[in-house]
Amino acid sequence: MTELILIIIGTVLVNNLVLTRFLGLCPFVGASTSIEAAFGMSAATTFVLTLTSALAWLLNTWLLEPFELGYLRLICFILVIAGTVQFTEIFIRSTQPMLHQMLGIFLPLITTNCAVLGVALLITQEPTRFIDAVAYGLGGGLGFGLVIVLFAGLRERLQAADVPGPFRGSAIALVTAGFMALAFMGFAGLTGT
Amino acid sequence: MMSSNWLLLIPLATAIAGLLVYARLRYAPDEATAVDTINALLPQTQCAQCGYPGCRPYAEALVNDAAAINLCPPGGETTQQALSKLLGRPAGNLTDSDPWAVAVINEADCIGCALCLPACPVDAIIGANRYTHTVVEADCTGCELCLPACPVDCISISRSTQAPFAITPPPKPGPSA
Amino acid sequence: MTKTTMPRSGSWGLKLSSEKDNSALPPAREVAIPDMLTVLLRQSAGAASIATVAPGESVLKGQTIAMPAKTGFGSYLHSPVAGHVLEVRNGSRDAGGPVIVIKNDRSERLHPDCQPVRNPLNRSPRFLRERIAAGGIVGLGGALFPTEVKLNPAPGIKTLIINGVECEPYINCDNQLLQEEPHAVLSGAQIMLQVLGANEAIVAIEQEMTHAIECMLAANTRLNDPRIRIVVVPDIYPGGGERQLIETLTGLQVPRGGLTADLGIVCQNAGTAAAIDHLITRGEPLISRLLTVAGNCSAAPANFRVRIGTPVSALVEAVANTPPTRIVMGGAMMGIPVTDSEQPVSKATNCLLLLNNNALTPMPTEMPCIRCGDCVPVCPAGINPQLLLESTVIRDVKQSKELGALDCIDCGCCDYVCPSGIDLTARFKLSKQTIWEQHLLTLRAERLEQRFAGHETRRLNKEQAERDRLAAQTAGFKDVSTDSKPALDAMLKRLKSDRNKNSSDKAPD
Repeated sequence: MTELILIIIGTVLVNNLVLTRFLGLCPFVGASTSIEAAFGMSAATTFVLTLTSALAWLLNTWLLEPFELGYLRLICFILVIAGTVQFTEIFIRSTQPMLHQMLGIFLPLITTNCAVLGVALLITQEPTRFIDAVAYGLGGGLGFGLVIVLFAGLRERLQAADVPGPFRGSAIALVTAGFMALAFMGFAGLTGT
Repeated sequence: MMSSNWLLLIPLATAIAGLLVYARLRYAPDEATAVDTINALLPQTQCAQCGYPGCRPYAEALVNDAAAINLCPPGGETTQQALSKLLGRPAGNLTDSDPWAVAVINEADCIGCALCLPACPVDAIIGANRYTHTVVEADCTGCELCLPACPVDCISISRSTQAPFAITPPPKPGPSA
Repeated sequence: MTKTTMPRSGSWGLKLSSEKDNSALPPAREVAIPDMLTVLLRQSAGAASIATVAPGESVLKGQTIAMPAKTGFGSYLHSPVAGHVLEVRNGSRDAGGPVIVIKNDRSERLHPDCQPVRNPLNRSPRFLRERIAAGGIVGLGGALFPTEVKLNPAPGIKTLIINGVECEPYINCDNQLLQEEPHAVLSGAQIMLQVLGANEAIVAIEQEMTHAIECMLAANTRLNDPRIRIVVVPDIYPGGGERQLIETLTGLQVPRGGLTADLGIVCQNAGTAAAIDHLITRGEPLISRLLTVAGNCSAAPANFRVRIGTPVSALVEAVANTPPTRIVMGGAMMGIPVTDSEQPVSKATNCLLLLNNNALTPMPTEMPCIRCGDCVPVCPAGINPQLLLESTVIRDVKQSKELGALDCIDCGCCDYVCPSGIDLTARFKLSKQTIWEQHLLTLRAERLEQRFAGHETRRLNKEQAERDRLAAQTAGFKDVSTDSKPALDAMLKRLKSDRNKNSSDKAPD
């Protein structure tokens, strides 16, 4: 049990997908213009990450490893990710139409989010249990959600702020993200890894 | 020759495709709610200045991402802000028009031809053939669609008597240029 | 009887220098009543009242000259003098509506309807309310809310608060009233207790109004009504705001968008209480009020009893020892500059400041907000002015409402402390106007959407009916569209042969 908690804390704070490993930067900057969109995006990404990690582990352990089809890993994972994201989009489009409007193109772009593929490949590289794989996925999603919501809050304040001309728009956003990454460096060594 | 690759990939892909088809049939997309939510933010002037024949068609175009959000002068900066927040799209340049502009018929010049009545999208003009027409101020939005319809040019635009005092937008704090 | 002293209820507000005399004041002075008085028809929060007299009509003092409009919270208005009506016309922008100009004939003849009520404390609440409405009594604290509406809330009012907390610098007229006519204030309180059916009244007075407190205590002891007690509150600006006073006295906060009646409390200004007493026990409708004239262009600050409708110029003439370059109606924090010296005194005028450049410091140049947060602890309404400024400047109406723009009481504490010199109060006033305007536009949009839907339905039905009519007309016709070419050719040939036949038949001339 402690192992699972350590994995989750590790993935959320120490090895944060966005601010420490610099994966998933596209939706991080693109879907953080408002806090509502950030919550929606993080919920969708967490769902996709967790489900994909579980399915990737199962696929790897039951089909790819036993039949020595490891070279098909990439294609299979991308198929699974694309399917999961499409399912998520269909579901959101039906139940939360305004969220779908708010996220726009970034919802299907979760497919190309390197964080999702990254976590899937990560758990297949080391020997892990099924529950560990799910924990990695969940922790990755929660970490992504934490930082995107924080970033969205900062960007909402930046909209009304008196930003100097050359910095307006994405420049000040990236500077802010850089400061956040610096802050998260302070978590290094928290879980002993 | 079927290699083991296809033995894995084809069933996998078929399974995923089947699941997606089922999901699409089970969860049909809900555009109507989105259109309603966006339409509720628009001023309902039905003036067609955005290029669409009414506010609801503009809302539908916004849902399909076919239109920009800075096309509605009667809605003004406030509506654009609200749309930007709701749709996550950046705001553009927009010149506000006065939401309290109203059309006024100069009754002395009105010939009672009733050509302006169908032109008004919200039926704010009352009158009949060979009777003097008049604009109901509370329902008029100043969309100006009746102005070209009048053959004697007796309709002009002025400010509603129901309007609150004109509000100048608050400037950003800082030394004025 | 003794007084209770309440502590501060929070860190909000400012300690300002009061600029007034809190010792025993001389009696209120009278100002010479001018020849012409202008009564504003918009003297309450709602729509302008409607004149019930016409130009040329003679009027007696205290005669009803206007009645409230059906929409909105208006009030009755009465002639401040005897004379005749000169004109009923549109006023200036500051007047906010029409005005009635009355010529004073100096006879001071009173209208016979101005009769006191006998045995007021045995009358029904409804009767008293109707009298109070007919007497034109409105909230004299500045908001001018019709008093009979405030005295008719949902049942369950337990406490009446008489607001004698005159917190704004310079304004001293309620102080004068509490010293000169404490019995009128207490009698008004008793009448209001009768109307509300409440059994507790608190007269709240600011701590530094020492002589006023003594006078009220003495009067209260003489009256010996166990329901009424005197409570002293700390002198913090804006402690006299209704919601702030309730928080200080009871620790309760009026919920956002709610009324004081939701807490079982009704709060009335001390001047309003005295006006009710004058109306009920003497029969005088609201035609005059106390106000302070202060500022460095007047000899010394003094309180005057002034007829409603007296032009500001008459007061300036009577009092100023040097001509003022700037006249402010109201106190130092919330006062509004007077642009037209003929602007009349209304029921809301509690103070006139006659100032020249020696008293004024130049407006500082506004600098950008540095997010110091000095404005946050001083706001008495619990708003965060820094965040509200941001959402106001980017015109985000939804966010402004959520941040509490409608709770702002325009007290001016935030821009008093702002180190960048930003005029926050003016921006928040604009924000409130924008929110109100958006509300009106949204209501209009909902109505218009339905009208448009009706219009479109009728248009489509008309087009469909037209199509049906055309179809019915052409129903029996042979459809020549499929074999049109040969049929047309045949018809043309026939026509041509007919024409040739006819032309050949025609005899040449």
